[in-house]
Amino acid sequence: MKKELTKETAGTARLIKEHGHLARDLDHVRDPITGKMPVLLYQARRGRAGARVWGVCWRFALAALLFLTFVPFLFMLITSLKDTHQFYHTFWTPAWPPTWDNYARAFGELHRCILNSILVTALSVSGILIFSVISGFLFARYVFPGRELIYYGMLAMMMVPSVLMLIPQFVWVQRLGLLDTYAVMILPYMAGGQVLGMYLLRSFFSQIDKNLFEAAEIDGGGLFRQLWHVALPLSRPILGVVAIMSALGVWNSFLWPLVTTSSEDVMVLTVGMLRYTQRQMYQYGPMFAGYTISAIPLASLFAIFTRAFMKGVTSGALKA
Amino acid sequence: MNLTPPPESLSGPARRKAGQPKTAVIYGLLAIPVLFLVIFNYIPAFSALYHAFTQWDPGKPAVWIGLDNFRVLAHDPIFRQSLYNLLKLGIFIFSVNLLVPFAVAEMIYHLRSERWSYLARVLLVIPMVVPGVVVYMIWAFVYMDCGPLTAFLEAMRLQDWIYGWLSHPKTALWAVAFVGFPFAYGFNVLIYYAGLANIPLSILEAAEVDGMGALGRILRIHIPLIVSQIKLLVVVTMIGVVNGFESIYILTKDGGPGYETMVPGLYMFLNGFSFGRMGYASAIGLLMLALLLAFTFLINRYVRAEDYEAGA
Repeated sequence: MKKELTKETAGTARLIKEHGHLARDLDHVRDPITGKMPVLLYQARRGRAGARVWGVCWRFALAALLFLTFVPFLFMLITSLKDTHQFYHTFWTPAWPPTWDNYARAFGELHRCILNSILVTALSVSGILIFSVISGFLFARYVFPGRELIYYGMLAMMMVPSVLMLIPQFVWVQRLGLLDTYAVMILPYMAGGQVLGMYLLRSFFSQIDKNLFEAAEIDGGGLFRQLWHVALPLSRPILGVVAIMSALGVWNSFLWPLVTTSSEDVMVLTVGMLRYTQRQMYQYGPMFAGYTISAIPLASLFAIFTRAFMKGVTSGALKA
Repeated sequence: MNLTPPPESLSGPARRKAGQPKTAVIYGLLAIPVLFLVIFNYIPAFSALYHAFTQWDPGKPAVWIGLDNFRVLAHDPIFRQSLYNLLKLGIFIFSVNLLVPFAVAEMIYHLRSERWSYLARVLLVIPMVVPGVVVYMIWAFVYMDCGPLTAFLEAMRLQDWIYGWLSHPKTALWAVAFVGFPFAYGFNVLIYYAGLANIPLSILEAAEVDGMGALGRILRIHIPLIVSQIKLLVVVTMIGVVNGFESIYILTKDGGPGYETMVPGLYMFLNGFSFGRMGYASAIGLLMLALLLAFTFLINRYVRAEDYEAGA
């Protein structure tokens, strides 16, 4: 009996010695939702020279990939501060003195488009969120006649490529007299964008513990109380995902505003950038200053919400 | 999230609960979103379906011509070239959009320092703040005669390699394909990474105890357990490939030189908005839809996500 125990202890000691890194790392495991990974491996093989060279190699490859990803954008930043002479004489490196005037000029031409884009995106995303929260909640929480039919009827529209509908949609909004208004962008974006949001929110809401809703119900809370006080507080990350995905889609949309708007009053940034580029023939400094300015709105949003964004996209909600 | 009971199946038995609001209230709330969808998606979609079988010129009523559009389409050399281009472009984009981000996600996943891993992920996301159209414009500049690529090759003394990349028939399609190099798209990387980070620790421990090597771990544990993420990216990439001609519209405008960079989406766009052949354009759109549906169906039929204990 005693001998056996010792044997067992010895075995455990050997295990700990060989896989000690496992036990140690287990202490460090943090929430997988925040992206904290279970780092278990490599420590055992750390001593081997081959493994070490390999480790250096792929870390270098990662750094190189990151750098190459940024080359066009670094070039954009550097060139945006040059005048024409500097552009042709110091091509790769930053030039002195910086031509801040490029930015003043670009901003003067683009500020209207930026405001339009912000307005269109904000209104569309709010609409998408309201629509998808309501329909997602109804589909997840209640049983009613025709539920499946309506649900799959809405979902089916996710499969139809936007390109297919481009022409009839254009003719249709033309007939509705919407061309060259904000509505011609906002209303279709709301209609199309709500589907993905509804889908994601329905599956999230239906995973919330039913007892929470039933408790609210016993307290006399109706549909809206349950939605507002139970469902929404629990679903902030997924709401963030829906908001980000739809905001990116709306902000980047190009072909639809290109064909449906023509006046400067409602022109959004993407179309504005095309017109702006066409105007800047061979004026690369102001051109790249304009490109940089076009990134500022999303860049500032991202700077504020970095943590939330990274958490939302890494939460594992996005999968097929 | 893992501890909550599984979602009630949509097709489960219909049980109306006592505290449920009146059906009329539910219908009333659903009416507005559904109405939006009907007006802005269903009507145009069915209109596209109908007009694929008509001759439809701007400002004139459409005339039913049966399958004539498709007959013309079958013998249209430009359309055939556009399909061929799409195939070439699609295979390339598919491989790099799925493989490079996967490799990058694996590398980031294996970084031992949480701080560095987070930094790498944030860095990869930052390019997303630049509007897509502007990224294409920057790349159009990269390929210009006075652009960085030419300057770089001159500096390397490789003058023979310099082309008018976007205007030379041999290079135009590849110039379009290489937009976004090195293809480490932050969004795709994050999706993969989310899948990897959600793999339960117990499975990785088991593999570790079994003495599985790095390659075996990636092939036999990581990939099978992130199939649902891979599926999402496959579908998203496919939709992007078939739908996406914005980059070509910005880079070569009309699918030139000749029809070297023409793709079906752009051909449809040009037919509808430049040539005034909206019925023909609708027929092209319908074929593209059929292509997408067939592909999505195959993916869903043959690629299944494996379940593992912890769910997620």
